[in-house]
Amino acid sequence: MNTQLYGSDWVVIGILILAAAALGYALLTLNQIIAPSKPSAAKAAPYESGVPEVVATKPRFTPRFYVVAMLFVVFDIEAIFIFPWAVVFDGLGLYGFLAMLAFMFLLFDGFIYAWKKGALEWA
Amino acid sequence: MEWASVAFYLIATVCVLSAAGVVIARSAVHSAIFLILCFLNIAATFVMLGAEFLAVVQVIVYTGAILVLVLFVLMLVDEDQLPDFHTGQPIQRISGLILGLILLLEIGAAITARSIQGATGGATPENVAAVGGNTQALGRVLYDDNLLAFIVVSLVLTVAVIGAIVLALPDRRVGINQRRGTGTINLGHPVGTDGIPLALPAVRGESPIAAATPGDLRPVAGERQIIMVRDPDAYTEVGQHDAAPDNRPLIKR
Repeated sequence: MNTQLYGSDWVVIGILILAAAALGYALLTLNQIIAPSKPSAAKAAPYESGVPEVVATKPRFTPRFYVVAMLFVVFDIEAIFIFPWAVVFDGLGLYGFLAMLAFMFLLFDGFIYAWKKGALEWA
Repeated sequence: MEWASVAFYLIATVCVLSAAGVVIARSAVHSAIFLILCFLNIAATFVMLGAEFLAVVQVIVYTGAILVLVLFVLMLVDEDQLPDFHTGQPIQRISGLILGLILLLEIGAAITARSIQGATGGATPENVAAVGGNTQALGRVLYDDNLLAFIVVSLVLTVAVIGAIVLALPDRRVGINQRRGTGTINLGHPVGTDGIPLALPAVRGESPIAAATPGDLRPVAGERQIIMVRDPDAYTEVGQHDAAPDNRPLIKR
């Protein structure tokens, strides 16, 4: 096993993640400690001036969003396939280049289909 | 190397606990957040196994894309309309318990017997290190020896794109018609449990609402109502809530 791998690089990434989480917690905790807290019914209302809400405030979204999310998953996976190709690109030569072109071309068909079907539009 | 096993057990513990949290959490959004934590810890496990490409894929695809999909589902459905996850029928609970035990036994058998061990082939640690890491090794295997499978993957992904659009994309004209039909104007009247606005004069006595009978309340999109108002300013006071009997949420339909 490659000890040098997580002896250096991954520890840095781990420290970064921990620092990000710690910063978030620290700011929230500081806010709770320092900020004055005087809750009242008027402050808890969604709008301080305006009509009280009468319907559920959580709107439902159109399925269009979901299509975009699914397209995102598919093209995300396509991007994943490009990474190992990119790191060995020099060794693969023209053959690997054409292989990736074929891959992209086939997926581009799907992209054009989605485009022409209006899956990427909101109007 | 002692700290490595400490790190592993920490990661594994958080992973199992967050996986349990996915099931136990009452709110579906909390489940999704636990799922993020679980996926990230699995990625950390991959890193500890030396599979750094798999770890990055885990973060990008699962934590990034799949979780987006899950959250979009939560946005699309009304959370109040979801079935309560923790009140299953007895037969569901029992069959779930049995299936879970069987799965646990299978995993335990696989671990203790260690019968599942694929051939390593040429992918020995030395060979992988020689080409620069397992991302490079994967690239060489994928784009040289298994090119046909790689191209087939692109076909599968294309089918996924087309399937997503055919199955989930709403017909555009239908969508426009539906949007026209669901326009509502809410003027902020608290409504009683009987569905009659609390301030309706015929029922509740004096109010700033224009003399309206229930016949004047024009239904829009089935249930919601438009109420004519003479003095809109009367509705913008804080404290309008107080007209409701017991401070319950105003309308739930």
